[in-house]
Amino acid sequence: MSRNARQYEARPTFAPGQYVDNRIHSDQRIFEEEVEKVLKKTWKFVCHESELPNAYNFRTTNLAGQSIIVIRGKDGKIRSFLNACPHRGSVIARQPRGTAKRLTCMFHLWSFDYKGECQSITRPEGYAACGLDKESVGLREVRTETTLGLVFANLDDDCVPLQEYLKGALENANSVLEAEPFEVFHYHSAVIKANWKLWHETNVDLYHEWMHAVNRQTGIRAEGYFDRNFINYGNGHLSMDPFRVAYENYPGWSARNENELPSLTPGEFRFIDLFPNTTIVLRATNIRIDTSTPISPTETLVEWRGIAPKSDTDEVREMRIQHHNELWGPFGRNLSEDIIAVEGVQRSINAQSSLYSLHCRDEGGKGQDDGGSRAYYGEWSKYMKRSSSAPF
Amino acid sequence: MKDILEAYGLVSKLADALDQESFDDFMSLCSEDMVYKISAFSPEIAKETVWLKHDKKGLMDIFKGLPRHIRMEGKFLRQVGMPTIKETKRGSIEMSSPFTVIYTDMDGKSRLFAAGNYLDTIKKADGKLSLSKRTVKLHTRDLSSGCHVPL
Repeated sequence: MSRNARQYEARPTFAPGQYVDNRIHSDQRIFEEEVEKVLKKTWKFVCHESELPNAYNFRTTNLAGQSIIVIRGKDGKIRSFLNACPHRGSVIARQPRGTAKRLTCMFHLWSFDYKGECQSITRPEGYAACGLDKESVGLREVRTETTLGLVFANLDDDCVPLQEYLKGALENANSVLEAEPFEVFHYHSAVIKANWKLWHETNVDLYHEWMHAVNRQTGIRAEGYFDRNFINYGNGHLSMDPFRVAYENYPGWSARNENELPSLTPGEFRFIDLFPNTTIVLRATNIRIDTSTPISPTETLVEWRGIAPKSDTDEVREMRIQHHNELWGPFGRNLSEDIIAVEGVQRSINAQSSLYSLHCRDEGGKGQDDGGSRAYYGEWSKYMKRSSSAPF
Repeated sequence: MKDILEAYGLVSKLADALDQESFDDFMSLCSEDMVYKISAFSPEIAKETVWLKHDKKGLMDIFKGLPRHIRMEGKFLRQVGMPTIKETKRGSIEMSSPFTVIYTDMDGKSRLFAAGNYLDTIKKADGKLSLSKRTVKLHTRDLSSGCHVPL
């Protein structure tokens, strides 16, 4: 039966953790705390190593609101630095990618090398009186580690090593990504009008697959879909037992039973959700990685990459591009639907029409259990030292 | 000259057919061997990235499947500028037309959705012009929620 205002606005009677107070998706104070307590303290996927194939190649990206340069050194090692000149704060690298033996700031021409060490100061004698020298004005280095070709960065100098943070969560990708070198064949991004956690929810919430015509026809009705167990690695990282998707059930699509990625079987589907905001999805013939950068409580930059073996022939690569685009390209059948959904949720939250979200489905840890999202918000609560069910 | 004007007329009809979602009309303006591609250069990876590529049957499958999907509400308006003719050969014209797509939402607010160039090969057979090949070269790379219908 319908409810009046008092009834609708009452706190749900489910146990804490089984619902979320939606102010965590709109409140400015919460967002600012998330930047400090979550985004600056966790390892985040920033790029694939193939985006930096040679020495001195760099990429620029955003980490917890800060621009960073990710650069491969002459020694082959990948490092990251804040993309801000220590002199007066000018942005050093203004392009999304490039090659630079010296990172030279356009403002006063100070230059730095791939280790972040200051190599030259314009007219350095002007600093003799104050004692400033090159050794004291290096770039701020950011912890960077690479695993399976995936480059991660963390603004917290005291963070645990990446492998300790991941707790084995990449096990479903190990045999695939270790087999041979991969490269990025697809990149696009979009700013969506929704909180970053709502976007990640679409990757941990399998119940929403009912929305997707593709998933209804190819996944939900496939054998074994509801028998899969969620895998909780700890630290907010999640995965699920793999199963076979029947892509051929969607009109015009073919079964993904040729040129599967190393160690994947025909139609095999695996996914890995890494806390706080990166997902790796393996769909037999290609891999999608999506990662988000929060801009504000209600806006998020999402980046989508498709990766494939470097060894692909032109024909096989064309097939992988097609398969990627069918679902996740900007004209894919699913991507648009996910964005429309979360933007709709955000509109309701912004208008205070939706005060609480329910995460209480229990299927014994299988199928469309909400255990994934409960684990995610549970981890969020630990970092934030406040319950996602009652944050105030 | 007449053929060139007719080719521009064809491109305008194609845009209108997509705006109206008259997909049968759109298909009637395409040759049987038509290939439709949408691409954008991604400076992040320094590659031309294909975002959609279908032959005529593939596009027909997309159009037929549309009612099953959750789509952006509102209207799209494709505006095609005067083409630049790249090459004319007996029986075909290659041309480049700048275009913009305006999206108007259900509240009546309009905004630019996409901009780019249509790189078209128009064929003439039996006195009729048809679209044989199109590459939609997008300048716009952030398409917000994306789109289920080709641009």
